[in-house]
This record gives sequence, C-alpha cells and structure tokens, in this order.
Amino acid sequence: MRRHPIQIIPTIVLFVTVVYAKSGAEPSAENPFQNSDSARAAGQKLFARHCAECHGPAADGTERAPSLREFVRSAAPGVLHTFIKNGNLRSGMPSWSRLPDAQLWQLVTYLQTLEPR
Amino acid sequence: MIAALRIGFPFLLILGVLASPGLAQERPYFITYDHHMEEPGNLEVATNPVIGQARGISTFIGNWTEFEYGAKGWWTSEFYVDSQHTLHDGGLLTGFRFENRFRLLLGEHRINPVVYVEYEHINGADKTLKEVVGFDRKEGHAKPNWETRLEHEREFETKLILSSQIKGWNVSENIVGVKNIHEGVWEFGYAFGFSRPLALAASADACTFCRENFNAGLELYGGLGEWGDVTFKGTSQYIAPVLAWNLPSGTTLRVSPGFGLTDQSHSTLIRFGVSHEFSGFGQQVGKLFRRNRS
Repeated sequence: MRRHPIQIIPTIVLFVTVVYAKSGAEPSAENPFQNSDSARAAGQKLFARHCAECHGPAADGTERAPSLREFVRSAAPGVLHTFIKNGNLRSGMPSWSRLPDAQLWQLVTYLQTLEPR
Repeated sequence: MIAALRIGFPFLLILGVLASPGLAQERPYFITYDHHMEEPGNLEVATNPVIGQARGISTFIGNWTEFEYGAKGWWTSEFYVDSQHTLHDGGLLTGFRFENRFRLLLGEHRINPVVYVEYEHINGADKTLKEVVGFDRKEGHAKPNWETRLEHEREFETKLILSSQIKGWNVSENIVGVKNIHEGVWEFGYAFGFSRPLALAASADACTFCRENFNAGLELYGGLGEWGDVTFKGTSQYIAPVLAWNLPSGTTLRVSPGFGLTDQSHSTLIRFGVSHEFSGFGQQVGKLFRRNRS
C-alpha cells in the first residue's frame, strides 16, 4: 500500500524536533567535582592536552586564542561547561563534545581555580 | 606486505621524529564518521592498512593514507591516497580521493547532521574497502592487478552523517550514496557505529595506559543495493569491533578485526590505523607565506 506523501510529515517533524533538541548541561547546573583536588589535577592534565595549544600552557592566550583567566572566574560552571561542549564554530573554537561530561566538568574545575592576571 | 611496509615505515618514522603534543581524541571508527570535526588549523596524517582474506582470493593489504585538515570549525577537508599489495601479484597505487565534510548545525544537538561529499579517482584494483556499497562482493577482488588497474572509476560519493553523544557514548549512522560520474546508477550503503571511552573521568596523573585513553566500540557496515533495487540480499555485510588508543603525544593507534556476515563478504578484514595530529599547521603555513611576501 502506497503512503500518501502527507503522511510522512509527522515523521519529518519528529526528526527535526529531535535534531534541534539541544544537548548539554543547563547553565545553572552545579559542578559535581566542585572543590575536588583530584578533579582539578585531572582538569589541568586535560587542559594541557586539549586546550594549551591554542590558549597557552598557563591559559594566558596565544595568537590563536584569547586568555581564559578573566572569563572563567566570572562564568557560572554550567555556562562554562556548555561553552566548552558546544564551542563557537564560527569563531574557530572547536566543540569538545567528544569529551565525556565528566572530563568537561574536570576541565571546568581546573579553569575556575585560575587567578586573573 | 613488503609494499605496505615500504609505505608505512617511512611514514611512522616521520611521525616519530615530528611527534609533538597535539589534540588527540580520535574516533575509533575506520568506516563510520561521526560529527566531530578536525580542529581549525590542525592537520591530521594517518595511514590505515587493511588485511583482507577470503576463500579463493589471494590475501591482500589495502591502504589509505589520509591528510585531514580543519578548514573551519564546521568544515573539514581530507585528501586520501590509496594503494594495495596482493599476495603473489604485487602492489600498486590505486588512486586518490578528495572529501569535504560540513557540519549543518553549529551547536551541539541530540542528533548532529553532517554532509559529506567526495570525488574519487581510483582504479578497479583498489582494495581499501573504505566504503562498501551496492552489490560489492569479494569476487571483485579475485581478478589480477594487471587487469583491474585498467578499469578507471571516477565517482561522486555523498554521505549523510547523523551522530549523537549520549552519556559518554557516541552513536553514529551514515547513509552512503555513490555514483560513477560517467555511467551506472546510484549505489547505496550504510555504516553504523557506537563507541565509548573505557573511563569517562580522567585520572589525575599523567599516564599512557589510563583507561580514559582507550576508546572501544563496534561498527556495522555494508551495501544496500542500488537505485531501483534497495536491498540487503546479495550484498556484503561486516561487523567489526574497534579499539583506539590515544597516546598523550598526539598519536592514535587503532585496530579493528572485521568479520563478513554474508557469502558475498570477505571472511576477515583486519584493519590497523596510526594517526598523528599536527597542531597549528595552517597558522605555520600562513606565516611562511606572509614572511615570503614581506
């Protein structure tokens, strides 16, 4: 039995809805590793591995990407988590959604211990 | 085997000499693509040999060497050079492929669609089995190289890549369409993969063998017939566990033993991969040109 083309509209609507559903932490989400020394150390290791190439080993910025020291202190943990996960593809900041949420939170834990200069 | 070593060994040597800390967190898949793009300005160089075996066919090693460049955060460009060596039949370069991937949505969504377009200019001796489409079958690899190298294929390939991150898992589906530019009909195929790091949280210590450096999963891929005859019947189908080891130096090692599921499939396809990421490659090249201009 042939389906009328109009019958596939609900399927398309469902697909588009699923595609457009944003993923990631809420901006108000709490960091599960807040104040954890081991998470800070793990975050520092992850920063050196994934972020230091662009933001510099001390997060002071390079010609490729800006310093993070001012921004990360004032940002809510959930906002920071969402930003790292999504990146800003237009401006060149890659999406780090390939890292599991736990590692993103470890990065947030480390970044929020950086002192502004 | 010797040809593969000839190609692979200098490459590994160069990687070893140039190795510097990079941004490696590579997908473990060989066939399936996910929505993660190359970081802008970075160049990833990889070699991916595959050893194929089937009854009545000489064992072969196909290989593709790839150069993947992050043009933009949403756009990745790749160039591949294919080669093969067949037991008792010798080896040869079999062609090249040029591919671009575009991320359609800039933010992270439940499902992240990516469009893939590729032009390939290869000959009939190609044995990389990078994609399995239409009614591709093992018998296609039974003819001698001197005969198949004369068959030139100029093909246009498209993929719709749908990929999701779910609680540490990556789940990716690819729908593949291939069309010979001069003749024939559209051939279809698919790839499906899921994978997960062995540990979701990173350990506090610097380590090479930590569980978070390993990513394991499974791939399923095969043909889906052709335009007017979309079917699983008479197609090659494969299942392949995958394992990737992301070294802190920026090098990634991958392995995948694949098994044919239908009579048309090779019985085993064992894939290996070595890749290394060169961070800031685009900026360094840009500097060279700016310096020359001044």
